[in-house]
Amino acid sequence: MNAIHISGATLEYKTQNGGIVRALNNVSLDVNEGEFIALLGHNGSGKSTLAKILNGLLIPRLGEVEIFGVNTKDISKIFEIRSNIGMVFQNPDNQMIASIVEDDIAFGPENLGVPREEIIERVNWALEKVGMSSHKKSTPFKMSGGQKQRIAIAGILAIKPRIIVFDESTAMLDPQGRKEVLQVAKQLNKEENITIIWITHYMDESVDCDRVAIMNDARIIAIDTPENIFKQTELIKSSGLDLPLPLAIANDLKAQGIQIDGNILTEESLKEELCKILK
Amino acid sequence: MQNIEVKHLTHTYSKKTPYEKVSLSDISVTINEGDFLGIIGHTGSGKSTFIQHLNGLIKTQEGDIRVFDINLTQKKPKPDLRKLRQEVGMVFQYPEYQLFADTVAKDIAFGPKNLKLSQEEINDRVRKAMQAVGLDYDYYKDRSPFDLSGGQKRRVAIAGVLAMMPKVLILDEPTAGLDPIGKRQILNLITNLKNTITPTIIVISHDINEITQYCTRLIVFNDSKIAFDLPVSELFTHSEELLQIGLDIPLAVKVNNHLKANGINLEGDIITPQDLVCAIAKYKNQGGAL
Repeated sequence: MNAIHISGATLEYKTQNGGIVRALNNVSLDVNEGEFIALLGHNGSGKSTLAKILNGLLIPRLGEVEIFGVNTKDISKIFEIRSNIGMVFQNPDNQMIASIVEDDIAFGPENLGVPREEIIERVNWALEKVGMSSHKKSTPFKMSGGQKQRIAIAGILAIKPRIIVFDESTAMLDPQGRKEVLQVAKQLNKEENITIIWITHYMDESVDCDRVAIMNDARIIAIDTPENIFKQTELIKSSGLDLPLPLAIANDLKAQGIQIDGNILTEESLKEELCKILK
Repeated sequence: MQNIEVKHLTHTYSKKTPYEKVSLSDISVTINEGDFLGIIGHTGSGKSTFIQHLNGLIKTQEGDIRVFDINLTQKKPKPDLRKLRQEVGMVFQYPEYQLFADTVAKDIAFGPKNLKLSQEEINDRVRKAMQAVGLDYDYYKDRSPFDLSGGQKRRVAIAGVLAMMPKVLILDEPTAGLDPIGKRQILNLITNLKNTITPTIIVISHDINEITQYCTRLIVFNDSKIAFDLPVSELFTHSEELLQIGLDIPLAVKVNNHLKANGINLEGDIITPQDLVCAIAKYKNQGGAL
């Protein structure tokens, strides 16, 4: 059974002046449990809509969405779906409700009717997982963006989801905060086998995930390993995206007639390769 | 010519309460006409507090600030803040959240209208501001700003500031949250403005690879103080210190430092990806180390 199974999802929005915009056009996607998928695409390409059909915030007009075999159209199962799939949004401030960290994290399991003893356990576990145990009794409002975002993630973790969708969760953070949050997501993926959907505008965040999906014009137009995706320069450019900077540099060098090996996606591989060819 | 002069500026939030926090301590900076100034530093290092002083959004507690001929610390007569805010235009983070009118033209006209200009002058300014940000006047003027894409909304918001015809433009993380195309458009726009309308531009950014593409001078805030104030070409001779205070350095600088450590010495200042590519090509053509 797949963690996520989407087949032929199609969905339209009405605009203010009565027009219709197609946000998803016959989108199909299968994600295995434990995969880390990056989802790239320009603004308005349909990424966030795709995220919203995953937990039943939106139901596609055509097609099916199944989370661990449960169809999101089945209203009676909506709680089961939402406890399996957590969402972390762009602005952590919009996702916080309590003035003390531990209360905020307890909010989810409280609503699921989890017994008190277990809530305490889950809160402690979730805080440990995001590296914020020492902030249990603090207030989230005075923290840095990265810390707040990690509290928001802990709040999701306390529900014990098997999938977490990060919808541009690093967009408002400084470089330090971005690193912290991405690292937490990677750890959860590795240690807890949580399936991750990572939506971002930062190409460099996608270079070491399992697969990269590219959305353009309401469709998934490509999905493959990072190496195979970023090889397709034309596809990347025509989708309004950029190459990761190390690869862009490697390509510019090639254009200057310098022999440089193919798969350069990270700073480390660029450094290594340059040392090799310049020595 | 000096546009802005700041001397010994110190600012403390929530003074005399348990939450007291020093945000700026003993800052002195001179900003000259024609500066293309980048400000970098951690969240909470004092960057935003600093720029908010420059157009009078925060009252000076200690120190002196002079902007053109306006003395912000003068008690009597009070400084002309209205004039100040015309001279120093401020584009905040996520400025599109400030859009409010039902058409693009009305939104941009809001500032000039408050200056009590004639309708003709207002229309003229709106037209010029839209042209400056690359939005076709006739096509966009009557559209709702809320139906536009993220990058377009941001350009409308910037046009609203430009319509005040500021001499100094301050932008706080102008590309945050945009997709790659939106980013590129805003960066091109800023460079254009620098060359045409506003001679002095100050940009706050977290993206070191981006800010080094266009700024010529960088100020680094750390822990409420100015850690460095240097031309871009000199700043990264301090790479070690920058990394120590937890700031990023450009990819090209990192790669160049790594090559140097391995005995490969490229020629010239290497800050941007283009610098790196050119230097490597040159090195290769000369057949390696001479």
